[in-house]
Amino acid sequence: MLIWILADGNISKYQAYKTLIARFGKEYPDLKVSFEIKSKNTLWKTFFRFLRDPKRNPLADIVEIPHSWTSLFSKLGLFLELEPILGKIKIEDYPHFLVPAMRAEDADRIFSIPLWVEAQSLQYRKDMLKEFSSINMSMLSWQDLLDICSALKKKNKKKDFYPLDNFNPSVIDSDDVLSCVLNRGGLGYFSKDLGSCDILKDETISGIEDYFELFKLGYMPIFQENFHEAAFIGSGLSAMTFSWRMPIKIGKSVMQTALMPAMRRRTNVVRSCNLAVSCNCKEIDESGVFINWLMEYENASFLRKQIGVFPAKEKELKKQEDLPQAYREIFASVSAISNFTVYPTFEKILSSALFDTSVDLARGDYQRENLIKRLMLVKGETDYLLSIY
Amino acid sequence: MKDIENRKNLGEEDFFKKISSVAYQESGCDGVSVFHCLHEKGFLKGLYKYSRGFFYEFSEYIFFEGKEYFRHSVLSKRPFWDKVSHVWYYYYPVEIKGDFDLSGFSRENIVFFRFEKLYGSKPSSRKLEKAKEVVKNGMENFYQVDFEILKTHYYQSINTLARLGEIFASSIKTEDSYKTIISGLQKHFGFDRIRFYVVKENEKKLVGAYSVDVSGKVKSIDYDRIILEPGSHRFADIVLEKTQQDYSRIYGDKVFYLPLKKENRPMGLLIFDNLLSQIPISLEEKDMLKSFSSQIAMAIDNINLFNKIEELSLYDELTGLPLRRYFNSRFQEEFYRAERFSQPLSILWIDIDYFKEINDTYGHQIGDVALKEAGRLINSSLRKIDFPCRYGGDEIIIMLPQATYTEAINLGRRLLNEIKNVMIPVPFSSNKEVKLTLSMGVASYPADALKPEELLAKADEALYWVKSHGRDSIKAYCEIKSPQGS
Repeated sequence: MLIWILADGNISKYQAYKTLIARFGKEYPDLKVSFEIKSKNTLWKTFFRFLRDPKRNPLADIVEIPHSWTSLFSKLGLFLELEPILGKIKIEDYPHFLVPAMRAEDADRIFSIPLWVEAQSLQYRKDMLKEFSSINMSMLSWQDLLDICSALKKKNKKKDFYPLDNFNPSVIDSDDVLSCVLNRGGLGYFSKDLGSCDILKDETISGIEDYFELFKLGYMPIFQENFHEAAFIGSGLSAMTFSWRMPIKIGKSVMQTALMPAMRRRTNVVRSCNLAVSCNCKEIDESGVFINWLMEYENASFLRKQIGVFPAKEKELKKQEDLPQAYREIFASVSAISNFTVYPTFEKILSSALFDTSVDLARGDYQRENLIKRLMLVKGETDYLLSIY
Repeated sequence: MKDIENRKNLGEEDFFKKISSVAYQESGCDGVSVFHCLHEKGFLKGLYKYSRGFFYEFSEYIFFEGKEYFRHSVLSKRPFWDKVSHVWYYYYPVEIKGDFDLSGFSRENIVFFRFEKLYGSKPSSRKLEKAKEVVKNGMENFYQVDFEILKTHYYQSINTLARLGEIFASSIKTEDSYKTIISGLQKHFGFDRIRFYVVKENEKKLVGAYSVDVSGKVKSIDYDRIILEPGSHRFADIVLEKTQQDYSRIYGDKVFYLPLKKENRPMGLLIFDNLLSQIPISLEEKDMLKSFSSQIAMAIDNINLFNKIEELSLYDELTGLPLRRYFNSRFQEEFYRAERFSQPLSILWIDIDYFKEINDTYGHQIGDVALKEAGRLINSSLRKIDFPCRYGGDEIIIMLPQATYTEAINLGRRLLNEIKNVMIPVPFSSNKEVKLTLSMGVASYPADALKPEELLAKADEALYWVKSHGRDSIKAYCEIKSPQGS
């Protein structure tokens, strides 16, 4: 059976899968499992190619997906319902914020199962922020963050030094910016009833601009060579980063974690990586055996630890004794990125608008009205899609 | 590298996997990345990476701004070293021969291979040279990959053209011709959504026909009716070519409008969109669709013509009433329905009195006017569910679903009275006007007959009775068979 896994900046993920598949092979010598790595973009295109010409574009048996894709692709008939394959899934085992991420919009049936959770936080090197030791990092306002960046930038004249590292090699995506939108008091990208796209609201635009300001002021790299794994922060070329993963170890010490700036009173954003069985699956029973095996505590936690992510089951999430305090606060008030039919397309349209704006920025040609024009198109297309899907 | 040379059908991904894995082993580096150079946009876009036994796609962008050595390398095609913190990078630009268009490659085909070495010294020059040799030789074969893909694509296109041509040509004779066209287009091109609008010349409207989605589900969109006037709607403007706006610029490559015309007459509009998937509609697809537009317009014209011919073959041109063939099929259906739901069904058989004499005395033109007037009067006096028919000569039959013989007689009497008001002027004759009268026979299901042909025969019998008893009257079969009637 073939599994498609999502490409990741952390190569340990591939190593972990390789190890797990070898272990599985020992336990189930008759079942052959292999995996291929697909970028989010390629996976997206492959799904649509399959819809158009399934014979020429077959899908893998099992696919790893961002949870927000569940609704769209199960509606388009690409995923099989999981309970007949995996057996009864205990919904109560999963935290409340992940349950909607497992189902298609307006359906009770489960089409994807979360493998792990990611939560956005501010991570920093304590050794590089000594002079700010009096500041409670989890209480930072956005302005505090800018002040710290400014002070660090003035102090550090090293070539390629940026106060904030950018872990996202594709520059900016809609997930990264969402916290900034929430910081500004926005509800997110959509109206409460999900009937319209709120991207042109003042607080949303200001949130997006906040994020861009970090690039504009030279506090975060844009279109920069990305380092093998430890990135800028590992080599002391950055002091802080926004990260969706657990803090990494630098030398002997682990990085510190804080809530995203200005997030104390707000809902934190999380996302999960889910597994789905494709409608093209040739080995349905075997796929069920593999997924159930992978979800066993020992195997799932091995994978999670290698990648630096959080468990998707509530008990395990609560049990994590070594979890930094900041994460306890984050998980006390979270909501997952939306999972409704139009959301993944919206994400793509917005990310493309953000990419084009990043290009303007890198060329020193950033203009607010261009950003607004792009966001108007995002709203137009998204509202249209909302009206038909 | 023999594998690459031997495998003509290697796809792009497999090709780069092979080449980068061999280059990785030869170079002794920690990673080999493949970038596509988008010189005009001013950055490198990461495509694939091979590192520690894994080959994967990655999405790193390197902008040339402030790094002029990249531009210099692109122009001179010379490799260069770069170092960021503890990582050594060796960028090796390779120009690709061939005329391919994969992954959005532009015609200025330069791929950068980046050799990455973490910590310590630069990778050994000797090993790098070997790796470069692998890349250089391997990329020589890229055109084969490209050629194979283009060849496959070409054959697919030819196939599509041929099949769609057949579909358009054969679509005229199906009741769901528009559905056939739109499904054919969806099957062969595969868009997220196609909408099909047809111009209704008589209504001066652009009317929705069907839409089809990515999973092939076809839906009627006949609720969508757009007034075909400049400024009324952007679709109308596009069809009438009255728009200055370039809508493809607004929606990027995700929407394509294809107005359909025949001899400058607007016939319809096809709208293709990939808004859900955000996958651009390629220029090649647009060109192919454009080349089909005249065929589709012709198919629509043929469909309209076919409908017109069908209308002519089903309706009598003179009276506007359906002809006998059409009546027979409807009569069978209605009779079956009456039987199934135990409802009455009546037949009113009408004959224009002395029609032959009118023709012989005043000529066929006056006879035609008499028929026309009778047809007009009948058409305007019926309920929506009633079905009249010119059965032959001067005989007209009206089928009255859910009507008992009493209701049929009432209608008949009304017609008898109203026809008396019809005066047909006769030029060059001493009699200035011809007055018409009618004879009518009625039979009803289930009272008079239990079979369709029997019902017609009984109505005819009733009519014969009226004609043989002085005309200008109406009788039901049950009346002529009762003691008083006979």
